[in-house]
Amino acid sequence: MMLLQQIFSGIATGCIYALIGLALILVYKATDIINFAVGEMMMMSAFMAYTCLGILKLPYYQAFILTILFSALFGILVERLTIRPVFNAPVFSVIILTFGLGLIFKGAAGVIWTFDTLTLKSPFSMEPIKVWKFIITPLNIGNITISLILMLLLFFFFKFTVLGTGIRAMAQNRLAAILMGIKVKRISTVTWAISSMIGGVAGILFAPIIFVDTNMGVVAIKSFIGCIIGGFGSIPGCILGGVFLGVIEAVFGYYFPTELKQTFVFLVLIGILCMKPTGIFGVPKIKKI
Amino acid sequence: MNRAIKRRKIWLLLFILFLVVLPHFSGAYILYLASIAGVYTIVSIGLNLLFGFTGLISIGHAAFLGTGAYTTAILLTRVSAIPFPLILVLSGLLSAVLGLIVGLPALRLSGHYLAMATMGFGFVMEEIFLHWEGVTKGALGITVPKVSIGPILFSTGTTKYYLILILVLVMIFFAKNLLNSKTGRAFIAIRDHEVAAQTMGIHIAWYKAISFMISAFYAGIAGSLYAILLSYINAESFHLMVSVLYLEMVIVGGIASILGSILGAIFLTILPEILGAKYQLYQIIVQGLILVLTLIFMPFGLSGMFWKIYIWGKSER
Repeated sequence: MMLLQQIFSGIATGCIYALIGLALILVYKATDIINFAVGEMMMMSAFMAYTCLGILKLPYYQAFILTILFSALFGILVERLTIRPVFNAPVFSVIILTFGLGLIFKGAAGVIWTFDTLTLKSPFSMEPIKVWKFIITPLNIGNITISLILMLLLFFFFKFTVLGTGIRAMAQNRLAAILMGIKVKRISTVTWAISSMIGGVAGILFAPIIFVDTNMGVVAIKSFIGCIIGGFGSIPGCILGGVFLGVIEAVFGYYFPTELKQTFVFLVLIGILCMKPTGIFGVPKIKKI
Repeated sequence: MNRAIKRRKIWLLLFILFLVVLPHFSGAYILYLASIAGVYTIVSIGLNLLFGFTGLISIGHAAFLGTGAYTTAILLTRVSAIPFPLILVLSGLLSAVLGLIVGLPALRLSGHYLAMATMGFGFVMEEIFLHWEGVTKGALGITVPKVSIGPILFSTGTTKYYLILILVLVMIFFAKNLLNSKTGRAFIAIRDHEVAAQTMGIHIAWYKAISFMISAFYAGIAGSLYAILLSYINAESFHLMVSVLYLEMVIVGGIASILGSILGAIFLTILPEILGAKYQLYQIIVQGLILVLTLIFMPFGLSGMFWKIYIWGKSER
């Protein structure tokens, strides 16, 4: 019974990983760039949410909308100012560039807001309630529900809109997409905006659980791992991988000392990489010469 | 052409001479900075061999450095009878073995996966340094005793400086020669086109493993020197951010350039000193900005700029 309890709380944490992982995969699929600053972009949104809720005292729905708008704008700015100039540079350079961006955001958030840890209130109650034999908080249920809704929305966006199809086309073959008249540069901007928005939602939803501070972006490392476990480049893989990681982490933390949790997670990662280098759902990339 | 090489050699000799006489007219602090820059030079050359020349990434390089540093510290505190040169080599070798272990999965992984795997390795090692208290003394850290080779005791800043200077020169010499050898050419071929290299008969797995080993060996030696220089180490010195700093040195200095690694290491050592006390607050912003601006505006780093100016100066005449 306790095990099921752990699994449930693992799923709730796993949703954070899955959402940020989604933000990551989106950019990766469309532009081949791994955005190592994804966690820091989420952190900026969380600080923005704090400004709206804690300082300006806006109602929750207004704060939510403002934060999402800010995230989108922020994503566009980042893409235009730093990613666009290196559009044709080797992938490794761009990856390291996003590393640098992460550092800048971290420092900037500390200087603009604070280096201290802030708390953010949530519309859902943190009071645990007992459902049958489980103890669950409405917060966790709310977060899981909103994450699921967001994932579904994204699914429909990709499947049925012109823009979504354009992003998928660019992911499949950039050159062919250009030849078909798809404006890849604009798509790149849009993708960054959407990715940043997802990060923003993740930031608001989970700030009450993981707290707002400049080191908040560290969570993103877990979602990288989730994505790799699930198979980098596959959207269902990244969601399942993130949730799976949350669950095994919770279960491991229940039986073993928590200091070993990080190490365990990375050992799982290295183990999976050794056995199946492309992750569980990933397909090996075949390079044509 | 011959004259150009001769002139370059003279400049090089003059620079080495300058480094040799530096302790006679500089303060202890400058000397300490120079020593640190020397240690960083060794790491960044090693990392450049891996990243710039073989095209493999490592975001966990501080872990190799830590292995070297802890090996030295533990051998010096627990086992007293080993001469220092042997300890130095052992630190490098142990780190190299670890590099091989990390490198083995690297033979199958490419690009992003390798970045994550090495980052994970860095994390795991950091946790080990912090939590394996029986050996590493955890957060307390280890105070490293003074070492000596024969009659020379490395106790003052000056003696440590000379020790590091000699090793830096040896390591640069080794890297230069390596790059002109069959192995070095294989590295570059793998970086430029893996499949083409394979069809030319280059054993990819072998050379990738070798590259990881050599890079880790450099980091191990640097770690050993780091422990000697600071006389104290703890897990914090080998944090993920430090690994990023090393990558930054390679990139700011210039990818695939030995001169670049030296310039990058020196630049990022003296930068905090130039910026002064205010730097603390803005440290990560400055670090990030330098990285981003370098990648956008001068992808070949400081050494790229250096050669550009050099060639420009030639054409003016």
